[in-house]
This record gives sequence, C-alpha cells and structure tokens, in this order.
Amino acid sequence: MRLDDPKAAMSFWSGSFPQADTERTTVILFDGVAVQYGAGPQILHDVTFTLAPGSFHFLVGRSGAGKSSMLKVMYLGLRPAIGTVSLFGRDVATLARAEMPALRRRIGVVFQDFRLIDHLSTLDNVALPLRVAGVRETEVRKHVSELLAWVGLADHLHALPATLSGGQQQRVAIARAVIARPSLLLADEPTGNVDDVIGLRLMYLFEELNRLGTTVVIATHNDTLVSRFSHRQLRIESGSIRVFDPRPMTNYPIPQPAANAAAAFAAQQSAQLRRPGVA
Amino acid sequence: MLGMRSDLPLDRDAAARFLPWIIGFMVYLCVIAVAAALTVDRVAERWRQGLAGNLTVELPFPAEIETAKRAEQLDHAIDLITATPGITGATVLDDSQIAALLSPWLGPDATQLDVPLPTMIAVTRRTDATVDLAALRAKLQQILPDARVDDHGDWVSDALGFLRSLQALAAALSALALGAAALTVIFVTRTGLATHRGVIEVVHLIGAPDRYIARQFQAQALKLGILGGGVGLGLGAATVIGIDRLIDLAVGGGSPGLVVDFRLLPWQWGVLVVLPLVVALIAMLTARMTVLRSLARMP
Repeated sequence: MRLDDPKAAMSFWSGSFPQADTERTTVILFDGVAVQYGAGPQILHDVTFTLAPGSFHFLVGRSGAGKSSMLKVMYLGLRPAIGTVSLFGRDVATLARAEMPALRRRIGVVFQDFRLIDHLSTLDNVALPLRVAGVRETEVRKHVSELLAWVGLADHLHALPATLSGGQQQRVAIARAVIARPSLLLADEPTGNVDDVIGLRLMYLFEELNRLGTTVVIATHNDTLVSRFSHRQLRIESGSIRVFDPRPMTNYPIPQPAANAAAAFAAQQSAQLRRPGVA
Repeated sequence: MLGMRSDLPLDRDAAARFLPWIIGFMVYLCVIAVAAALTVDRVAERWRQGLAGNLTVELPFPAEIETAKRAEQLDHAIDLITATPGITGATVLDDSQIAALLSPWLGPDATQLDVPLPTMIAVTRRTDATVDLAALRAKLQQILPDARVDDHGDWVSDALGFLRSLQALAAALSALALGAAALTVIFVTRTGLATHRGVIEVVHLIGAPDRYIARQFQAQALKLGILGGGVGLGLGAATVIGIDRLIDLAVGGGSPGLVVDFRLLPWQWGVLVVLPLVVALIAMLTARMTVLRSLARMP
C-alpha cells in the first residue's frame, strides 16, 4: 500500500464487529463548565457549547490554554468543578460507575502522550478496544492488521512501542482510537510527530471516520492543518471557549446557537427534576 | 482462562513470583493436616470396631476363697454370661494371658508377684445386638459383689474425644493456612493494582469494565494457585508416603495395631488431590473480589 495515496480504500471498518450507532441526540454539551485541578486555579471557566452528531471540530488555542483538559473532561477522565457536561444525552454527574465503560467504548481517544501499553505489541495495543468489546479474535486480527497496513505499520505488527519512533507510536495510538469506529473521536495533537505526508493521510482517516458518522474533535496548534481543512473551531481564548465557523457562507447547516441549546437542555433537566417519579 | 491473553504484565511482578511458593507451602501444610485428620479418622474407626464386639468381666475373688467354691462361682458366672441374649462366647483368660496383659505395667513376672489378680473373662458379643449390661452386672454381683463388667465405653469415648480434638486442631491449622494464603493473594493483587495503575487507567478509558481487569488478575491467581498447589500436593504426598514407610520400618512391617499408619485409602487421596484445586479456586475468587473492591473505590 502506497502511503502517499491518502484516499486508499479503508476496508478495516467493514465487517461484523460493533459499529458506531448513528447519533440523534447532542453528542457533547457543556453548560457553564469550569475546570480546575484540586484547589488550583480555574483553567477553564464559563465553557458553554454543544457538538452536533457527525460534526468535525478543531480545538485550538495556544499551548497551555487548556486543550488537553477540555478533552479530558470529554473522555470522562476529569470531572468539571462547576457546570453540566452531558455526553450522548447523559449528564455525566449522575453517571454511575458501572455505566461508564459502555459510554467510554463509544469514545475513541488519541492521547497526546499516546499512552500505549508498553508490554503489548502494536497489534495487541490496537486490538484492545475490540477485545474489550468482545469481538471474535479472527475478526480482531483481520481488522487490526488492515488498519495498521493503512497507517503504514504493516511491518511492525509485533513490535513493542519502545522500539517504534515517535511518529510510529502516534499512528499506533490513532489506530487504537479509531479501530472500533467510535461515535466520538477525541484526538490530542494527533499529527504532532509525523511528517506532512503521513499527517495528511491521518487527516483523511479522521475525515472518513467523520463521513461514516463519528463526531470528531481534534486538538491542535498546527495552524496550517486548521486552515487547510476548513472545519469549525472551538477556540480557547482566555480560559473560555468561542465557537468559530470559518465558512459561514457555505451550504454547511447553520448550527443552533450553542448557548440556546445548552439553556434548553438545562431547562429540560430541571423540568424533569421538578416532576416527581420521572427518572 | 489459564491460557488467557493478558493486557497486564502480571507475571513479571516480583510479588507474584512468590505467590506459588507461599501457596505451595500453605497447601503442603493443609495436605499434612488433612492427611493426619483422615488417618485419625481411620484409627478411631478401627478402635471403635475392635472394641465394639468385646466385653471384659472381672471377678476379683478374695484370696482366702476355696478353690472348689471359686470354680463353682466361676462356672455359674460363665453360665449367666453365655445365657445373656446377644453374647456369643466367653473365655476365661489363663495366667499367661493375664501376665501378657500386665507385663507392660508390672513387668514379665507380674503373676509371680504377691498381688491378688482378678479372674478375667473375655466376652464376645454380636455387634448388632444390644446387651443389657446393667442386668448382667446385677446378676454377677449377686455371685460376687465386686464383679465388674466393662464394655470399654469410657476408654473408647475418652480416646475418641482425644482423636476428635486432634482433628479439630488439624482443621484449625488448615483454616489458618488457607487464611494466610488468601491474605497473601490480597497483598499480591493490591501490589499488582498499584504497579499497573497506569495501564489499568488506559484500559478503563478504552471502556473496559472492572470485571475485564478482574478477569486478568483472577486468571493469574488461578494459574499461580494451581502451580503452587501442585508443588505443595507433591511434597505433601511424598511426606505422607515417607512417614508411612518410616512407621513400616519401625514396626517391622507387621500390623501396626494401635500405632497410627499413614496409608490412605483411594478416596482419601482424592480429597488430598482436590485440596490444591480448592486453594487455587479460593486464590482466584480472592483476587477477583480484591480487584473489584479496590477498583470500586477508584474515582
């Protein structure tokens, strides 16, 4: 497979393993969210926005602005200090511990520091989400090796992370995040360690996943990338979020103003609270 | 489950490397204790059966009684005994038999000593019949007020009580060994959870439920439990057989009689073989519960 052909066929998402369900409710809703670590200062405050199903957003902001913390809240790795966060229509504050795994399986995460499991091979690292979901082993091997070939790691199936370069590890991390075709993909600087050719190829991978229905959020400070793909942006500016659409005049569906949706959600939540007997 | 692929490198944990040895040692103790308890059970059964068919009648004739009168009373007593329902025979022990019985206490010349010895009658009875000992005793005491009928009941119940307390001791030792093994598993599992916290967090974020992580720990505990248990069973069995050989050598290969012999029956070996499996199962369940409880406390 030629790596410089960014649109080579992506067959690894076909087959019988669990597929992303088509989302109808708002995928992510933040309403008046503040984020802080322990008793430290608030890193983010008054964050209010919604992400519609199937949308594609860049999360931009200067280094240290709080992009990773934002993603952390989105993948249930950090609870907000203040405000409401809702994922797939579920308020995460009311989420029982036992309900989290099922929700997390719908989210693919590319961590900035990759977080590959050191003693597992490339293949086993990428296979993990499928195995956790209980996919048959023959299916697992087939899909994983196809995806790894697509990201240019066909020769490294049995390599341990420590023997891979930073760029190769990044591709393993991306493959692990997308293999199970999540409903929501959160990627933290996913093209930070690869050259432009591979970076472009990975972007096409995300776009294809998005075309199949996955909501995508990519945190990056790579302006070239952001300007090349004119997706909407969640801009972190002075500790809060501003939604920016670079192409307001195109045929792109005009999003409902985020604040309105958030207010509507909050009203609905409090209405349910007021009605006894409604869970 | 034993061949399960593991996402956590549990077999590289230093603490886990000690687990088979500790479990092996605990299984060894259990095997010895249980083998001893089973042996004691057989000894008790043998004592009970050996004595159940026997009575002893003791007639302490006064020294001054005439020989003819003594013979008459003895005949009368034997008639009374043999006429009692359930009794199959009565034999008067001669001097040499009494001497043999007394020699452990009074030396080989017991009958030559100037000590009045009672006349002893060994009575055999049907084990399935009840003999009215009180009536027999009353009748014999009409002949000789000091006559005694002994069915060895007191002695047997004392001896059995002693054997039962030995068994209780064996059970307590086994329980302690099992408890120690379970505590070790808890310690090793908690160490593993702490060591692999980072990997567990990633696996959690990927959407693995707690039981997915618990499965890996419990598979590891089962594997190490069976390994250690096998070693413990092997050494324990060798010890049991060795002790049996030593006893054989000591008593010169003859029937050991009251001496304990460690030769176990096939079903008793079966119990010993199941023992390490039970311990491995306990190790597995302990690991599972430890993981689930520890993870439930995580944020």
